[in-house]
Amino acid sequence: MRRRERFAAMLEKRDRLEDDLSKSEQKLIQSGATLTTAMGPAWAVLIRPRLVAAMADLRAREANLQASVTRAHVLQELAHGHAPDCPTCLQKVGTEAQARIKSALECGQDTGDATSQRELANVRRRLDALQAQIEAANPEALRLLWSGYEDLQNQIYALKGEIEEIGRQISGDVETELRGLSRDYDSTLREIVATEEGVAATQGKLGENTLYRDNIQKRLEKLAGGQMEAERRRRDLAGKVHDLFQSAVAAYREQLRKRVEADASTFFLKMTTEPDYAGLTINDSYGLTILHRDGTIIPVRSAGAEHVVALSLVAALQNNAPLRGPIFIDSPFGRLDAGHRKRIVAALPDMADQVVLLVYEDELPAAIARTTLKEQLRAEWVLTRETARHTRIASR
Amino acid sequence: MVAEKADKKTLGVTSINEKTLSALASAGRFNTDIEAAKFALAYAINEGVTRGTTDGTGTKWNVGSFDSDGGLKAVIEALYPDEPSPYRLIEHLINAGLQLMDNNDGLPPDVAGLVLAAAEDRGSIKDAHLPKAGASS
Repeated sequence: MRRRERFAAMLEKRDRLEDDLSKSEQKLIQSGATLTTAMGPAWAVLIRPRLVAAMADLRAREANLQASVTRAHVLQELAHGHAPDCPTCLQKVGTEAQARIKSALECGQDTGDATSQRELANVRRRLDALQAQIEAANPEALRLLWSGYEDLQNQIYALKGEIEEIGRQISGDVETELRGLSRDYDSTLREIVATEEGVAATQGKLGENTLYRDNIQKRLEKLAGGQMEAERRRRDLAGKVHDLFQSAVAAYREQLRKRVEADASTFFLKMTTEPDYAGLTINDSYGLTILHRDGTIIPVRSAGAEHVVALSLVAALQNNAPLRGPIFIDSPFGRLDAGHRKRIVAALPDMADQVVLLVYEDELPAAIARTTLKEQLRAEWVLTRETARHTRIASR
Repeated sequence: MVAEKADKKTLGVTSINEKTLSALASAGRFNTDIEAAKFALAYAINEGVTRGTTDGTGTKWNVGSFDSDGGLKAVIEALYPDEPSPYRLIEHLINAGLQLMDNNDGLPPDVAGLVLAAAEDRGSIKDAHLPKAGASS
């Protein structure tokens, strides 16, 4: 499943990348068209500094030529008397000065008027051409266009590489998945064949068993000689009697449980010194639980209380047993206080026809037993240790 | 005294330079090969190619179509003062530029690189290679 999710994610990514690629290719076409237009005057970009420098030189040349042409023009004006005043100092040009100017012009001096004007025109033509190329050459704009174009080319290259890589991964995953599916298919086919064989074998055995059962039935009926029905009725009767007996046992057990519970409560109340206790109850596990006067149970009890509960159960079982006998109690007062000891000793005569109590002198002084039991204390015996294997019993 | 050759009426490139011109026109995204040829010319000027002539050129363009407004001729005259045959020099510079661009490595000329370099170096001139008036190859 995880592999399929990855596969789907890769397909989605590839589609997204192909969309991006298509958009980038469109942008590249537009950028290329713009670039083609801009590349027309690109040659001037390469030599722009030289054009600027040449233009500066030509400007200087233009200024010189312009001055020369102007000077020649003024001299011509003065020589022919069209302008009576000098345009520089604004003073009147005399006849003598005018003759000298005319003479100089006739001698060939300052005759560069026409030549200078031609050269000036040429310089201006070149200046116009340089100006036009410098204005057309925009290195920064061209740089930005080329940068954008190359960025798009790089972007397209990267996108194609990524798409190609995803394509390789997808084809690899598909191959792996196909191999896995082929293995699963073969395995499932083998399981189906084995299961079908098992089903066929089981059906065969069921058929055999049915036949066997029918044969047994026929033989039984044959052996019974027609008394089969009578035997069946006897079997049913025996079953019902058995069920009745089980019900009787259960009823008796419930009655006995209630009697034992009542007797145990009676003995417990005789022996305990706690006035808040209301009695004992037998739980589902046939254990005894102490009940408080408020109807709740006492969840935790002391070792002494455990002892009193145990003695109550012994007494209750003794009272409800079909066969009764003497009760032997060995050192029952180890964990009990004086109040409990006295009440337990007083209850002993009600527990059984004969109770034999084995105690240490420290545990229950003989005087207390005598005072409590009075004439119900029928005999006293003293056990004296002779060896580890021999204890001597003597009447007191 | 040697009589100067009359200026050219048609321009062309050598057969060797034809391939480079085609590659340049494509790599530079030029609209026409005339624009590419002018770019090669500028490259040659920028590299300090001096005056001269190129033999073995075919007839590819009429000067009227190559330089319809005479602007290029005026520029050449400004950069190479007193040049008697500006179109002959133009043809020479075109072929020299194409030859310089051909690195014999099979790769097209790096037009973008030249433009970007020109944009970075704007305002500066390779002084050592300034064309000098009167120089010839």
